[in-house]
Amino acid sequence: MTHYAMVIDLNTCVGCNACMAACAMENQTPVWKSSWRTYVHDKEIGNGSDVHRRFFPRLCNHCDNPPCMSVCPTGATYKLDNGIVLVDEERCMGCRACAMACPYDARRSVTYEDVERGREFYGEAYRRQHPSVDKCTFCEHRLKEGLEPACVETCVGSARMFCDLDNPEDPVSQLVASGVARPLMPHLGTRPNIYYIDDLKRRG
Amino acid sequence: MVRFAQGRKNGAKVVALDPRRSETAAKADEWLAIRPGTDLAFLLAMMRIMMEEGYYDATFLKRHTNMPFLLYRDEAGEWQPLTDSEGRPRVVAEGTRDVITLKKFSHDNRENDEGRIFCPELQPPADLTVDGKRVKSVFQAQLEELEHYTPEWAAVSTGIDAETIRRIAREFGTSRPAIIDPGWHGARFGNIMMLRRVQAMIQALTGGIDTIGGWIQAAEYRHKAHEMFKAYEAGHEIAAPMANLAGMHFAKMVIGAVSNGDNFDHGKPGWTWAWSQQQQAAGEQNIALPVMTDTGFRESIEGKVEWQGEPYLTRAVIINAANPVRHYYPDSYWKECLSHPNMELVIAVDVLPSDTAAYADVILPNTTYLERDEPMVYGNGVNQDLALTTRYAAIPPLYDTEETPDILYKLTEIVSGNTEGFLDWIETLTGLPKVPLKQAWVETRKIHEKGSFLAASRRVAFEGAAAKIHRTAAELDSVMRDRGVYNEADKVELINRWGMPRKMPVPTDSGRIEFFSGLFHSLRSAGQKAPNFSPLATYIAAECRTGRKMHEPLAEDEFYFTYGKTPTVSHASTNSNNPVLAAVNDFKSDIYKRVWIHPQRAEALGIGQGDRIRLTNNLSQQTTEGDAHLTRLIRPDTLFIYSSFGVENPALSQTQGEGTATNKLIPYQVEPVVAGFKSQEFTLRVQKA
Amino acid sequence: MDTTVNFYTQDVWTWWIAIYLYFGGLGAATLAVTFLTDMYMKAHRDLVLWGAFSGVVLLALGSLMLFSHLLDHRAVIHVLNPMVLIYKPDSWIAWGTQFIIWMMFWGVLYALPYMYATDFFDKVPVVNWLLDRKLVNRIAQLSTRYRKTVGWLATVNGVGVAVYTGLLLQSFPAVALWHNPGVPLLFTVSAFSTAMAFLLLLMYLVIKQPDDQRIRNFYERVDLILISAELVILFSFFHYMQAGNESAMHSARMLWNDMGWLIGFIGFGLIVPFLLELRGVLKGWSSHLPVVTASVLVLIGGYLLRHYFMYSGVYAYPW
Repeated sequence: MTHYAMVIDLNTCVGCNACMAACAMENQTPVWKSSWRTYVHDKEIGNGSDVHRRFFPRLCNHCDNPPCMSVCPTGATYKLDNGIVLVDEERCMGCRACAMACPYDARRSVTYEDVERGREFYGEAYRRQHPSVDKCTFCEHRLKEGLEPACVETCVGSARMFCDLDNPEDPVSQLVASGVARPLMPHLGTRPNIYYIDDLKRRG
Repeated sequence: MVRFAQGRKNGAKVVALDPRRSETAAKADEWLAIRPGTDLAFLLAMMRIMMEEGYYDATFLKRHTNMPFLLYRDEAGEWQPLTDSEGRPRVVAEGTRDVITLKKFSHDNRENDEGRIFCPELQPPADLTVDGKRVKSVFQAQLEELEHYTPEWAAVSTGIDAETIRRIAREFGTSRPAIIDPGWHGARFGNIMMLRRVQAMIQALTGGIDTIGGWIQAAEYRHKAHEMFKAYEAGHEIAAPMANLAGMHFAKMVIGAVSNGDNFDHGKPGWTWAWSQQQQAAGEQNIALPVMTDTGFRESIEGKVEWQGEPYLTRAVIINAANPVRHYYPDSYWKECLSHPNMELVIAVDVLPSDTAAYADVILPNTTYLERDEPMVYGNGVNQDLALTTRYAAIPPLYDTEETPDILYKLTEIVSGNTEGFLDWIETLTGLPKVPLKQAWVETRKIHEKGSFLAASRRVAFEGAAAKIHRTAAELDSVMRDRGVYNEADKVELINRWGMPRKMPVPTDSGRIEFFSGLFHSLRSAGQKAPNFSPLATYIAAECRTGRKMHEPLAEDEFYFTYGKTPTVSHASTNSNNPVLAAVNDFKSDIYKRVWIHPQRAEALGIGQGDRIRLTNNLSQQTTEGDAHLTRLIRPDTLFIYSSFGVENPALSQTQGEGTATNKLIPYQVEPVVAGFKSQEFTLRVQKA
Repeated sequence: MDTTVNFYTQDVWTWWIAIYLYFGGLGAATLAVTFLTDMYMKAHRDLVLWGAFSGVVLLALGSLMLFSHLLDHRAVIHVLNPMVLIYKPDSWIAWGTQFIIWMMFWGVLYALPYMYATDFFDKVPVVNWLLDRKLVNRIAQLSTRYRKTVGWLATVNGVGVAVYTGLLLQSFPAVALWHNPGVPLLFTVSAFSTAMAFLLLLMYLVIKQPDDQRIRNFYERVDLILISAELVILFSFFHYMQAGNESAMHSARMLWNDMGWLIGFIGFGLIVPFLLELRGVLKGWSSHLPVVTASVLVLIGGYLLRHYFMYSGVYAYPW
């Protein structure tokens, strides 16, 4: 079996936002309303003069127990055997319960106007036919061709690493197994598949 | 960036010196929020500690640098190299008082003129005299120059305590490999040249030149130097020197070319040179090496520049893929120059309606790099592996555009009709042979309606490059098309065979890594006496307020100024109108488009998050507005702006009107060596708008 | 990793969902209560007609709120299909939609015989035509024959709708204010309380049958119990939200520092009507006015509860 996951090393994310741009172009997201499938936050952490600047990339966590999938009334949100959570845009009626259920803020609305605008913006290559509550697909279409997700391929800091958790020899999956890479909000029972390596070390 | 990240993953410790938490400083183990303009003090203190306490690669310094070379002070107190009658450097053999003469140009000091093997001394006896002159090694002279630059001294101006400076110097000096990343920009403060030199000196102290983990020479540069030395040794002329020279040899050739009127039909040197000489004669500040600068440009339009008693007027300008209104300082300088009554014609060749294009009489639309096959086969730039590369058009041209080589050819035809001369120059500058080029063009004209000259250049360039690597043009093309590059040799092999200076000279005057700079010594000897022209490392204080030191307290509303690039702009270019990047900038507009100000200072001025503020330059009184971004990621005494914004041309619909333009705050102010902009050497005052 | 938590409230589901939840609960509970009253207290044509059609209209309006905010209206067909319960039994919206549809269906069916028993519908175009159809007449006869079965089917679906409005919010695990078993309970109690208030208004101001006093008194007493239950549940919520979970604590801080919630909802939406009705139950009022006032306040409070719930759900993001 294959069980896809991503490890994000916060120590080497340089906040360049290349992943956002690559994802937008690869997946034709509605950039005109600053709506992205993946974000890189730029945060200030610390007290007094000891201030840290942290770049924090985030995206759909492709949960093993995805709340967005269980709340979806039409069955538009579904999960592949390899762990990827997808949305069938034809089946999605856009009630946005998934957006409410997602603890990772990974769902974005694509409206009728966005579909029209997308045809204009991306031209003939535009793939979308229907509005839906959009999300990251781990670039499933690229994985099928043996490529990595666009955000991983473009990451200049090699902060984003993609792996198969079911492959014990995969060095990235070993990072997960070692415990150095940890998921977000595991207490919610979502069983997420995005793991982060912390950048905040004890100093001084 | 990939290498930086890999270094981090391998456990490299990173210390960032920056008044703000830049993207790089955000990745550092230690962020030292240094006061703007004082980096040189920090580095000199560091250099002093390293030299005094022995944190250097002595073997490297003795063999491959001019550290053991002997100097003496002349009557004027200036350091002069102690050479023999033929100008050959001299050193003392280790542990002796024997003075030995070395080869004039070499990469290894262990071999003297007659092939004798010995070891040069870094610190010869203090009382040594040669030819009746008290002599010191460059090492000793440099240490003497650094005497006052203690960590305690540096702590005052930098705002970083002496203990930290000492610790960083020790950690850096005792780590191998260790590397200094010199940062970005040839501007900011008057001491920029010296700063860059001292950075290189510290790197050289560790021996980390052309070593894995150190400063590795770009393979293309190494290759050029190698070919150049081979040609010199064989006594050959270097063909197409513009394309084939490296290092100081290249710089001197360029300086010689543009400063000599004989190289031009009109018989005059470049106007920057004419102006510089005119200023020197008038006893005014002049630029020693005004290459690639706009110094004297305004004067040449206004009719103030003269050459041999005749006015030397600039009446027309071709601006090719450049945006000086946006990128030079201040914006008004270029706006006034381009709209001056004496400026009869402004031609802009560009891919976008830039702020500069708005001042052009004629705009010649050019293709973007995505739309064209490049006219040449190139070396792989700063890459460490030796390779050939070129670009292939990703898409056909979207608009009615023409290629730059074709534009320039056609312009030549219109302006002077001297197209033969144009082709001669192409051969000189790029190495593309004229006759085959003309033959190829006959063919390509039949195929291409546009860009046929470019296509001919490319054809000839492919033939030439392929011949050099003993392949056919078709083979070269298929490999590059497939992989993007044609790899010739990898960096480890290159370092092992032609490492500079361990295996081959570096392209300086002496072939060694020069702590005592031959170039600056010659400028100084030619009358440039400012500390900027010191051949050895020395201190040049930034002076943001006339007559006041950097550490003296600022007024309540007064700030130092820094600027930097947004990552999104480095992806493309500064005047990019790319809607995706514009959207990223919007997502982070509070950070990217606002003026960074420390909350502690902002509060005192009654400025809140997002408030509109007015910024005024205390030196030039230039003034503009911005929105406050209150953040502790900046020193309290400093303001920061991302320099990527402030576009004015409304045709750039994605970016126009966003953010604050740095060139509305930065005055025309240059340092004396190469006219680098002193783009931060002033203070700003801030008030609520 | 959660060293830098930031707290956000959502702007995806706002006032229109509050209306959906409010009308859903109110309409469904009203229908259920009138049918139960009709079946077990007193056969009451007007009450059933008013209850059934208020329920249908309120649910239609509420559903319209949701429908009009859908991104792709055509795809709604997938939840209208009853098969949705087979392939998406874990989705409460799927259940809710089916509850709403079947509640309406059985509700109208239950009311059908009474429609023949009043002149009103003879005057309504289309409806009078429909009522004249043989098939419809036959259905009405069947409905009369299986009175209790039809009534219970409608009631069960109605109760389902009321409970569903709470379960829907409960299914969003990231928000502690919503993701707890108290929410379905609170929303169900509130739905029935507002239904009682709505019916009291109807009976005092519209139906006005003097021999309904027993029913009115009964509704007043039930409402009193429901309001006190609601107060107890909210009291428990208050304490649940004080500790244990940052999301809950932030919601608590938002709610219990908001005058609209404290005075508007808890004060005028619960405590004041509670006191008014308590006095009515214990000593009686000489006029309808206090109970009518209490009912109006309860109805407003019902909306406020859902409104504040939507706007006070806090997501804790670790970035």
